[in-house]
Amino acid sequence: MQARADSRKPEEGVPQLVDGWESQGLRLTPSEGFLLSRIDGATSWASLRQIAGMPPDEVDACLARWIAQGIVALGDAPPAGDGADAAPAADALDPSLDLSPELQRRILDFESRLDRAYHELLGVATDADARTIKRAFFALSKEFHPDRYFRRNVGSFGPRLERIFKRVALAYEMLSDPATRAEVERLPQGAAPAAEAAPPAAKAVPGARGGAAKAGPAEAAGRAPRRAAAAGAPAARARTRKRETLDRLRRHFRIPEAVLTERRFRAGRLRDAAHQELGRRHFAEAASAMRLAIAFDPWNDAYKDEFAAVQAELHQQRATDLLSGEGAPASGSDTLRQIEEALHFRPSDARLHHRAAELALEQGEVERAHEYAERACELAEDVAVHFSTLGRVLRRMGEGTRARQAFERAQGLDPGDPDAARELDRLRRQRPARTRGGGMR
Amino acid sequence: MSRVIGIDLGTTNSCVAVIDGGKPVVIPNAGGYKTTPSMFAISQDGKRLVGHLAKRQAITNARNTVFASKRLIGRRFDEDEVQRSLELSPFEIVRGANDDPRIVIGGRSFTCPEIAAIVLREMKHIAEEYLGEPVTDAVITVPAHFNDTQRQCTKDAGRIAGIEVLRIINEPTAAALAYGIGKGVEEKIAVYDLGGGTFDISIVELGEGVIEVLATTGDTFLGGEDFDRRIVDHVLEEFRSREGIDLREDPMALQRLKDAAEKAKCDLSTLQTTEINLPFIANDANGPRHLNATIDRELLEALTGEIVDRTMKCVDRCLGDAGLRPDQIDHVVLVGGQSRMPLVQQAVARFFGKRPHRGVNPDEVVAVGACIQGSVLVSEDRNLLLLDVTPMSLGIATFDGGFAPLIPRNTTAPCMKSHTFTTTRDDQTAVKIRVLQGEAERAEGNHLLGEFVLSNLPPARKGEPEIEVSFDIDANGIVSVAARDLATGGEQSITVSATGTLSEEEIEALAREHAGYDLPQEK
Repeated sequence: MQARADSRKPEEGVPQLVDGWESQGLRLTPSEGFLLSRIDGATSWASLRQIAGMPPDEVDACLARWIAQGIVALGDAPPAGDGADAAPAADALDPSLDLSPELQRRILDFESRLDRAYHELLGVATDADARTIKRAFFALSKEFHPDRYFRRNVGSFGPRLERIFKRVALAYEMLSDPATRAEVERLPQGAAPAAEAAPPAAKAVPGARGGAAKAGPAEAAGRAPRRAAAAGAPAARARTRKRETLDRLRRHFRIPEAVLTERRFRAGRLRDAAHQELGRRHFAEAASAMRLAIAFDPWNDAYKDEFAAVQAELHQQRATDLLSGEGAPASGSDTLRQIEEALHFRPSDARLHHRAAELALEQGEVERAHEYAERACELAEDVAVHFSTLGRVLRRMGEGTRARQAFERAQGLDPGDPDAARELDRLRRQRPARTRGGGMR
Repeated sequence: MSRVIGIDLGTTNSCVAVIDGGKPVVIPNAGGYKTTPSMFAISQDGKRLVGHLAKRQAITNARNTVFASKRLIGRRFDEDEVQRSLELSPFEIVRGANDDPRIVIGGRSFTCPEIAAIVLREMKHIAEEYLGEPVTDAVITVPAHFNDTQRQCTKDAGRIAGIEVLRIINEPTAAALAYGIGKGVEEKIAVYDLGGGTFDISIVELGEGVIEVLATTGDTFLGGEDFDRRIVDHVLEEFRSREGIDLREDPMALQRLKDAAEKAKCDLSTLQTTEINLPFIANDANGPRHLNATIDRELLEALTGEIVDRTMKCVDRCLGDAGLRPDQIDHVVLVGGQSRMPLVQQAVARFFGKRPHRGVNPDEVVAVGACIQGSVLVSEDRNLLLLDVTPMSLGIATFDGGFAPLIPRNTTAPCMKSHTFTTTRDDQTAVKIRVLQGEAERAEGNHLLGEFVLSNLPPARKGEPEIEVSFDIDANGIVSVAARDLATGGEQSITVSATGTLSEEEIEALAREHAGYDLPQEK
């Protein structure tokens, strides 16, 4: 929290990307990459929190970090009601109504942002479960359903409440059915359909517009054998209808060409950056840049192929680094995670398995250690240290007999193996103690 | 502000409730009964009788006593339901000026909203007597499957009775509201409502002060009276084969038998066997005849098992609409007198795999729910919200005679949906938008709510113009439909739902007329 942080709260600002950020060699997790790709200079900090799909405090931490790194700058919030719509200015408030000024402001504000993505409209994360979505819908219903203000003097706010409720109900309808929700989530969310959005005063709700399957209205002579949109059982029909709403939505959420060009351009720059990093054999940075390129331009399949290739290279390299002890991360659990990732790409690397077993044992993950140790022994049957590791794992599991067999095997392969000699000695001394009962530990 | 009453305007009985001292109270009528027969009669000496007074003389004055008129309200004369009522009603039903069924008793013709208004006025009086203050506002319940015309007619009836109808809500929804009030838990409830004349099923979800109707459906012509009718038919047939006399020709005998059958049916909910004894039911050259029939529970279940199966099919469909399995329902609530039948309870328990709840007063919960909704709407403390749904799909007719629903049934209201259509001929300059309500796949199987024409389309090849049709249901249930040519912005729209079977003038006139009937009753 520094850079341009001033008296104003950060969440009131609008993060934007600083030019040239692409070549900074960022290492980002997939969800961080998603967050970064949503920064477009129009989506506010508060909205980013809602759409990022990660906990709000993590969003705050990421944004703060990027601001500190000079990747992101904080701009001013655009005036509420953005541009074309009449801003909910003070003169829209009417003190003679049975609605408090705060409530009037809340209604005007909410109405001015009705064309937000459905998740945002309901104020839930993209991965929110069904229950959370329902609760959000119920809470908004209690706030905006016209029945709440029955027979109250609400003036021009009556139609506003209705518009809000209808939109909120539509959002809930789409998100509460797993089938439609899956489709909605594939849409490029958060892309404000500024060009197409009708001002709230217009009667058409944006989003429920555009042509889908066409059915010819009545009266016309039926020459063209076009089928009416609706057919089949009522449930199937309802589904068809939802599908058509989705089609319309897809059109609605068509990102304006200018924005799309901008995104493609950025994706291209990121890919260039990735290639540069590859040249320097900085695979992690290259993979991160490619992942971002995909987040900016998810329609380009070539990026996905390149990403997969970089990813494979990265893990090869990582495996090599890890085994040579180079660039080992600070904590054992991180290393273990990286080795496990690398194992996907080198599934028959005995040394890697052995290292994984050692690390897992250090972490107290005995089961996993056992799996890796056994696999290491299978892959390379002539390496003493693989068996002595297996022996230590088995001893930790309380499998005394099998542990001793493993150590004996290790000693057979390499009589000088220090682990095996020491452990076998220890096991021999333990045995009398255990037969006397009580045990040492 | 005056208090809002909740009225369950039933096919056979009606009930009124109000929030008094913070609690819902079912108001007894002058006779001490908490339900009042939905009956209206004109006696031999020209007096108007409502409720128990009408029921008491129904046998002796069958031709001039109206019952179950709820089955006729908001329908066209030619509809099957009306024709079926025609067969079985001892009173006369004729075709009215607006193609609506009208009832002729005491030498005067009554529209169905008028009959409903007479019952509503009675319920309003009962509440006013109890509260000692005038009542103007009410929430009235209707079966879940009522279409917009039937709902509007019920609203019109309220206006004729001098009542401002704040809301029309679905009966099973009201029952759920009554059942769910004060429970802070999240749960899903199925309400199985088998009343005198209608069957409804609703699935609702409660949670955090919000009651969301997930799905609701029903059967138009299925209720306790159908059970009675099966018994009546059986006994009639038996009597005819034994005595050679068809009692159908004699309205008075038929009414006696109907009452006896209803009583026998009720008895069989607790007894294994019962008898119908009607002495002097008929006369012929051989002298007076008596009717004696023994009916046991097994026979009743054989006669009516098929009706119960039909209700379970509805239940299955409703669950499907809600996207749930039977085991996902937390509670099953039975409403309506006919749900007392053991066979019904067994069928429901088997389907859901759990014992259904029966409130203490299954005949009263609907009115209680209605008054809760009324109070929630107007009170200061609004801690409860009912999210109701559209009862039937709304859409337009397509060129090939199909029906394209834009707002499927069970959509939370208020709502707004739109869809794009196109032309089917080159250089077509106009399209006709026919607004329909119902679930049939073909346009003609659905109820026509209204129509209009969008003209002045610019010449274009067929399939090219984009005509956006949008349906909007506002908070008061008013449906507006607009069609817009996206090329020119030309637009036509109509408001369709405010059409009952009576015109505005007719309602005004009837309201004035019926207000007059009040005078002699005031003290």
